Amino acid sequence: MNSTDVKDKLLIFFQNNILYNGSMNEIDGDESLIDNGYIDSTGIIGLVTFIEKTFNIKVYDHEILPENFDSINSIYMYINSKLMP
Amino acid sequence: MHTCCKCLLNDNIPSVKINSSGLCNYCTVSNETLIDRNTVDEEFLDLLEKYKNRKYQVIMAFSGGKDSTYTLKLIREKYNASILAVTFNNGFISESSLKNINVVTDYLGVDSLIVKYPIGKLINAFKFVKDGKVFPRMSLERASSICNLCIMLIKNMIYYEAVIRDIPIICFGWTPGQVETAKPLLKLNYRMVSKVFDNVKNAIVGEMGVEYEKYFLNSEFIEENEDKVPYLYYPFVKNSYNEEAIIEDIKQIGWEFPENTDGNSSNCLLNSYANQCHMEQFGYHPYAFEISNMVRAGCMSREEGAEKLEKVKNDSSFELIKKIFQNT
Repeated sequence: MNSTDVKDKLLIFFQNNILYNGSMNEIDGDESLIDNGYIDSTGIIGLVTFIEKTFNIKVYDHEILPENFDSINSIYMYINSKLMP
Repeated sequence: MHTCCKCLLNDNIPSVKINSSGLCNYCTVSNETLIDRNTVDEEFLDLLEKYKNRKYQVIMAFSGGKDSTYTLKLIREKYNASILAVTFNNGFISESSLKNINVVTDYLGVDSLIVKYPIGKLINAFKFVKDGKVFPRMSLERASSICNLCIMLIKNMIYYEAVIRDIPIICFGWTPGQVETAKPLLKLNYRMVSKVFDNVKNAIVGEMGVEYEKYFLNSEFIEENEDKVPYLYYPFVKNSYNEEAIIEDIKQIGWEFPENTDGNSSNCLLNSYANQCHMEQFGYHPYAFEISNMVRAGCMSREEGAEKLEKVKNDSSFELIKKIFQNT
């Protein structure tokens, strides 16, 4: 899976689960998803489940940190780092 | 309005799209199959063994409803865990439910603690969040805004009690439809715990005043106790769930279905009012996702799910609660 595939799948997830009919332009890539009320604690768990199933990677508990999961860009970078050989 | 022919979600719900075949976007991507979840959770057993010398191994958020009662019974009898059952009384727990709490904890030999905040303060906070502006849209697809706040208060309280009492595992009575996770055990970093609670805390305290701060975790407190941040246990990842079977099972230990709650709650009188407010505000049933998830996972039939969705409110409870809110 290349980085474009990762980005596309992530954007679809965010479109369907966070923005609904809104545009991805609504959210800055570095904006805090938690502080700005886009995602809550149960949503983080759902996001982890989505990432593990979609990208076939293991998300360890100690990796579930704000710096890895609190913005679209950080989530994208986290997934890519896990997919790197 | 179009409704999914498989799971019951309708396209009044913002994230739901129904395709030309009548299937929703959640059903078209799902490869959910009936999984044999009736296994012994070895990882949970290992954790209980690790903490066998603690006074309590598990703190259970125990509402007295059918799901948390069954969960309590499960982890007590199947895993022989030592448990502190903590109930958050939001002022609207039915008398039958309070009786159930006594009967069940006595039968299971489990210590019980009830935490109650002043009802006037809670009602004012519920009124503030009623229009849903405080919560993410995805939260409002899982529960009404009033329920979301109640759940948030419970989570904060349970985390606090777990840390001060040195209890290593938290368990809630979430059904498979309420939390989507493949991880039965999860330990969040203290910074993530603090962060996910801050948004609602800041909104409530900002609007209602600093007197509400004590109902939320303090970030310094969590940081000072980072090594005591407990695990979260989701038993229905590895244990089966069937509503009919659950009710029959817990009836055997003296649990009785309250007569004055609506079809989607077995403990709380506020639920009926909260659901109705949600439906008036957003145009869809707040339990639609949970029920549809369970239909998709094979935990209940589509017909059973449809029946539950039709039981929107208990008229007498609804009118009573509406009057209380109006007079507060």
